[in-house]
Amino acid sequence: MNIILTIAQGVYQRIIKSRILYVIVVFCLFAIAYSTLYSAVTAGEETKLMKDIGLAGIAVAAMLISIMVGSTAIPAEIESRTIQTLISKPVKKHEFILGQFLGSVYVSLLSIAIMSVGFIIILAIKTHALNLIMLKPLILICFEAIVLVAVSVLFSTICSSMVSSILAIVVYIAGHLSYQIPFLVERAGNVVTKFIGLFLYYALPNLQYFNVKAPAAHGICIPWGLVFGVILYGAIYTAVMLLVSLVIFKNKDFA
Amino acid sequence: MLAVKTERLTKIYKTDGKEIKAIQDLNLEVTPNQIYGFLGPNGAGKTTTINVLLGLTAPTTGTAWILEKQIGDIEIKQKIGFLPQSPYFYESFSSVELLNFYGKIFKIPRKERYKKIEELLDMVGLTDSRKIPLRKFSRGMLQRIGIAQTLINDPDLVFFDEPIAGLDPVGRKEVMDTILNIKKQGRTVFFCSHVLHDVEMLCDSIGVLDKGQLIVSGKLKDLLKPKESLEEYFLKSIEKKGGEKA
Amino acid sequence: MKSAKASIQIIIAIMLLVGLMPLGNTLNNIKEDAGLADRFIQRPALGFDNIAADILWIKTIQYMAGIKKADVKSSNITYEMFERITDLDPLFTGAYTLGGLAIAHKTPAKSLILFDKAIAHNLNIGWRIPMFAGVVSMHNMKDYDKSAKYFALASEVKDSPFFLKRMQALAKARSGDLGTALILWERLYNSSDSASVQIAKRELVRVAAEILKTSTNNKLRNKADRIIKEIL
Ligand SMILES: Nc1ncnc2c1ncn2[C@@H]1O[C@H](COP(=O)(O)OP(=O)(O)OP(=O)(O)O)[C@@H](O)[C@H]1O
Ligand SMILES: [Mg+2]
Repeated sequence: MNIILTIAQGVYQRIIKSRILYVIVVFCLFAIAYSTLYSAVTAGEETKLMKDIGLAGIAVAAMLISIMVGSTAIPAEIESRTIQTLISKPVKKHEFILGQFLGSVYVSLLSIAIMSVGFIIILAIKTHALNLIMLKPLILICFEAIVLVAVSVLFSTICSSMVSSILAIVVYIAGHLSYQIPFLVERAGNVVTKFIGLFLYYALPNLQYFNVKAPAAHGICIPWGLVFGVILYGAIYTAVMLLVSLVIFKNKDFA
Repeated sequence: MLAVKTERLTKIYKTDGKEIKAIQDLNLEVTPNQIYGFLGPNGAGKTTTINVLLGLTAPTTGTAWILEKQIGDIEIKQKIGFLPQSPYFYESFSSVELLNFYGKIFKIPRKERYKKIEELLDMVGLTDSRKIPLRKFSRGMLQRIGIAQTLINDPDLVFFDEPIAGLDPVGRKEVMDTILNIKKQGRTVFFCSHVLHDVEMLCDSIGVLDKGQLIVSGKLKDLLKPKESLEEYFLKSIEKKGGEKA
Repeated sequence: MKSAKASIQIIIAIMLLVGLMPLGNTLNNIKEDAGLADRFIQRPALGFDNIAADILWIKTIQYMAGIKKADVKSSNITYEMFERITDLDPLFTGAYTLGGLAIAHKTPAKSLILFDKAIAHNLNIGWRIPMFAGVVSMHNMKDYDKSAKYFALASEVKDSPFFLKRMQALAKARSGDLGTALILWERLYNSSDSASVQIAKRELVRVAAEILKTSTNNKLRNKADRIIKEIL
């Protein structure tokens, strides 16, 4: 079997035994179920509200899980020095990084899948219809999670898990605001401000691309072209993060 | 053929602008099919040497060969085993899961892997606690699963960094028996220690490291005078070295 | 050798990042075309804008339920709340509809601002919101020209009901543009919608009579004359 997959599986086996993951997933499903009770005050918009809450809950949980898992995987191996044993075996450094990355991604996607199935079922019970239109935002939530894992992995090759998760959250926030930069840059007179603004705009992941929750909740058709384009965007950004992690990791000592 | 050979191996750590010469111009030659004791006081550079040999950190200058292959060659790692100093393993794993994980890293086919795992668990006496997570293991048990782990790939050469440190007499005895057993299987053992009494009983030859430099090396029976213990010899050689320098 | 490999990897990474620029622009265009473009708003909520909108929506409903006697002041407050909701969730047609209708009585101009915002932000707005806008301009604003425009917009929406065209003609007639009203009614008269044909017949006579009574435009008078003769 492939070494990368073995390492990924190891990551999965270890994380799956941690309780915090279940807490987040169960809490999210509970919040979705609870939102069905709110129909009295929603003035006929209860399905929209339910969809909003469901998608937002899953998005938040996905963000928390992917950042948590992505930023602890590598530091856990370094701090506990299990990496020494692993590197003393025929494991190349890129295999190590990719294994940690894939394991973290697998855990994140699995949790999103569980929450999504729960959400679709609750929605189906409430609306007597299978809301498959929800799949598109859910797919993009998955890809946003992948990008966030990659960002966390990159930070975790430099910093402790605590610091990298904080940095990853900063990227998450900035990534969801960066779409506003062009509007602000237009108004800015200063050339330097403009330059910095545009640099940030292109260097940060534009996470707002991954957010099609609102149109989906309104039942507006999201073109597949957009979905695939965003997936490609996420894949390329992820590749960049992993390449940089690799370069950093290659020159690292584990003694 | 040599199991380990180093040539002017030097490792300098730079921390806070200060340079620490962990090892300096180290020339080692370890012949195969024996237990080689790598000795030296705390901070002598034993762990650093092993780390360099295993590619966990790059040497500053000099180079080394393991089983005739230059370090850095990933091929080497197919044929060696390593037990780090005060090892720590994935604490949620059981012994079986841990050995299975490392076995998969070596791409050992499933059937063979399971057979090997049973053999190793039996060898280190952990068959009964196979399902217990490692977090609940005692120091001695951890050390033993650590040793089992080094043998999963049938290595020709195994490195043990302080395998008997921190164990009670019973634990020490068990580990030492295991090490002898490993030698009997025709493997070379390279092990670091400063518990000299144990080294004396185990080793065929030794190398003594002090302040990053090799001060003595050779066959144990050639080095020791009759009735002299290794402890006495060790202190003597380190003092002598210190005296020369002063 | 090692550093050479590292520099190649860094160069590839940078190239990929540069490649994201055109891809990003393409994505922006796709979003624009689908009516999903991101817009600048003062206080964004990190991709959870729609949840913020929902919370505000519930608060607004509660506020509106608590209004004892509707006046301009409460109407203005309601308007502001719906402005904020629809800033956060520009696709929330329910909010435009409820907001626009709730404040139509006291502050019809603001009601129209909300309806206009809905029309500007949504590609597939449906016919109801333009219709509401038409009704508000007609009844509350007495701006029949504008009303006719909204009805025209509503009637152009796919699968919209036929009566919207009649509303448009009605509004045109009331705005004083009798010539256009005549054309619109004539079109309805010749349409296949039997209910409209009946009404159009009556309205054509009325508009034509009005023209003959008030207009000085000879061409128009002749046309009105001809139509009356044709129908009667
Ligand atoms: N990662 C590191 N960074 C900086 N200095 C280090 C590092 N690792 C070891 N050293 C220094 O190098 C020297 C040799 O350390 P090393 O761990 O190799 O000694 P040792 O012989 O294994 O000692 P011990 O018996 O205590 O295990 C020490 O002075 C130590 O402080
Ligand atoms: Mg040591």
